[in-house]
Amino acid sequence: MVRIKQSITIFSILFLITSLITGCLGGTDATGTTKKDGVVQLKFTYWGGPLEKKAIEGVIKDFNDSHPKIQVNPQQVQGSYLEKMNTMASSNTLPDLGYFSEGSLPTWLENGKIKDLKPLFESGEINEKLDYAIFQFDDDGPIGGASVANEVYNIYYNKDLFDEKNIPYPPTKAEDAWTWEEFIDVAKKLTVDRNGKHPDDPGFDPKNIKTYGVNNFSTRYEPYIYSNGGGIVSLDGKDILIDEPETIEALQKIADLMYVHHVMPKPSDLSTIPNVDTALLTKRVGMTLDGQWALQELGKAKVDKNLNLGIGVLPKFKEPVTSSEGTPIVVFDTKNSKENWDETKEFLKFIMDPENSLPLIQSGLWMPNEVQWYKDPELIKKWTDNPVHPPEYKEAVIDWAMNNVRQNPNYYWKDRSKVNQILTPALDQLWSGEKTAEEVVKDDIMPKIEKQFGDKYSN
Amino acid sequence: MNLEKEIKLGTGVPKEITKKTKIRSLHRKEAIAGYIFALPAILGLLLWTIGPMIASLIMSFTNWKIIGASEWVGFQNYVNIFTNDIYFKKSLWVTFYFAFGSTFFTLLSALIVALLMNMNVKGQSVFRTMYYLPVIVPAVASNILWLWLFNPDFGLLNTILDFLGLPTLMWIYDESTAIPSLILLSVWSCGGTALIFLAGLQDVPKQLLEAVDIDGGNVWHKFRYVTIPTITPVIFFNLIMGLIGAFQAFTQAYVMTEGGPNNATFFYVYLIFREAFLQNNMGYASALAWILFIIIALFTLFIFRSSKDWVHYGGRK
Repeated sequence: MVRIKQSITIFSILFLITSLITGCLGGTDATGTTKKDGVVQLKFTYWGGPLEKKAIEGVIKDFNDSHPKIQVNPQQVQGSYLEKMNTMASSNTLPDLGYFSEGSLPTWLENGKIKDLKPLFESGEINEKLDYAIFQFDDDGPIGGASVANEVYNIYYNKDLFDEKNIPYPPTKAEDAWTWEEFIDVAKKLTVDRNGKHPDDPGFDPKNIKTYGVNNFSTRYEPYIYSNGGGIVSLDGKDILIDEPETIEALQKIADLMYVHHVMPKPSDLSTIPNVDTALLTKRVGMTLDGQWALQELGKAKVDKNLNLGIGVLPKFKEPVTSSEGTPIVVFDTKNSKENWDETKEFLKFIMDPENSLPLIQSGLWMPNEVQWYKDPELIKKWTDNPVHPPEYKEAVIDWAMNNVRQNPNYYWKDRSKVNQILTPALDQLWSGEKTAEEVVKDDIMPKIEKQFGDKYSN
Repeated sequence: MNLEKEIKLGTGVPKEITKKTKIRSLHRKEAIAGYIFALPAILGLLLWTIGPMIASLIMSFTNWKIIGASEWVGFQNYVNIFTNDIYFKKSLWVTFYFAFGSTFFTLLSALIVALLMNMNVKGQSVFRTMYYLPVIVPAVASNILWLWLFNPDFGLLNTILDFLGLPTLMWIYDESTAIPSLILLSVWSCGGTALIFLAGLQDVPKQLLEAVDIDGGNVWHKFRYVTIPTITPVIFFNLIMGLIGAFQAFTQAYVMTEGGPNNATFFYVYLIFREAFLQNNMGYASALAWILFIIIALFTLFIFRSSKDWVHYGGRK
């Protein structure tokens, strides 16, 4: 019995010690990127829903099959991506490549955890990307990467609803874009309360709205402040434009969609609005502003559920303008990616080439990140000639993305995420109807920006 | 004892060894076994609590960003927090508001619930289960549930207000009602605290209550002069635990409000989290965390100090 006891004691102490040691030292060897039989192992992390997962794994399988000497191991990170990356960075287990959050890109690039891809982009080894999709925060400074896919904002709507009410469809050409007044007029015709009344009818009940004319304009307000001649920051990143009268005016007009015209759900109503595909199918929402990625779900609804999907360009104040977004794929500065730079580069070129991510592009989730795919009719046909992309897509999205994009500060402004932390909560007061745009900008946003940045932007 | 016998048989200890030595070696063996059993807890405390605390104290004097090198910056982080941080004061205010509000109302309602649960009625155990149930719901799940209850249009709470002919509220979607709404959510899950109160209530000496009856006192007198003084140690315990927990509120902000609207629920721990993991300012976040630690320590100390004036232990005045 004593023997047994002693051995149990010894065993448990050993167990504790070994688990501690492996726990502490696990970091050095947990990258899973060692060479096995001459095959280079690379780790790639990404986020996204089930459809994106399937597509990404498909792209990677194609790559692995055509490159027997390289093995890319995808890892999907669900939620809290940046927290995960930070944790991995602190334990030296970063992947070799992966999606990355734009907001933290400048810091990571400056601290050398993300590789400067400028030499690669300038070498001509990688196809020419859209200018506005390249992440570069200083003139001629290091390049953190380019968007793996392009995304621009458009209006998405259900054509059946427009037919029912005998309203002409939203324009598909930038030059025909609705003025703000025309747009509000249509939105009012689409908006109906439970008793079938429109916003201007006597007895209209704004608390019980069955169909909202529009949705999502307050979450993606930037194209409108550009359209009105305002902005967040100048294109050289040196002047804050939030307090320009044009910016304030546009912000106020977006808030008016909710509190003056009653054609858009208030933030508090948003939980009663289903997913975009259901919202359009059930006619809960007439038109929704969304990124092009929405076409994946909407295209699926179009094919599977007979959604009569339409796409239009955004209404304008002065100029027809949209903005863009896109997730960069970056190369992390790991030991493995340095040692196997050629293989890492090979995979980066592969996944950045629209040709190889065609399934994702054809599904509607992505748009190509290269200029030629917007100009060459053959290439355009390749990605849009399918049931997901409606006929007006060429004008309303492709030409629109080619000619009417104002570059998103995500791509060139280091203080973007810090300013957003000030902007987003402050604008809550505008979107909730408590304050006017003027009050929010002048009394709340600007003083905070001055306090945070000192005289960096005061001129 | 069996053990003694086993030692004799198993190891063949010579019989001439004195009884004293045997007992001493037995004591030693028991002590060793005790330490080994306690070892996981001790190691856990050292490695996962004390260790990281020391590490974060050191970090708080650096500008460590997780990525890249770090430099020793002395008290710079602390100075910046008090002079330059545009979120510090707001989040501190929000946290104080929530901590005191939720502790007070949770304690009050837990006490009321405990008094009710202590009554000898039919289905007593059913009621006790019902009140305790919210405690076993995981925080994230209950937060999502409450998101629905708080919904200004279709939420149950507004439906009830509407039914009663009262004006409806925006709950967590309005700056002024956001924190009170989250306090309501804390009150809902007061079952754990109530259970501790219940244990305290059952220790209230029956003879003293009867003495009040004999002396012609009513229910209030019983409560005020017997029950309350007897359970002051329990109130003391719940107060401290509640306050410490409330100061560290985080999940509600993370799951329900993202600190909004307009930073009305921007809890201090949420600020720490954002600085550490979203802004990569781990050194700065550590300094923030130490300030919170000191604040909590001061309040705890204050309550402990004050306790001798209002907490009564049996057998002492």
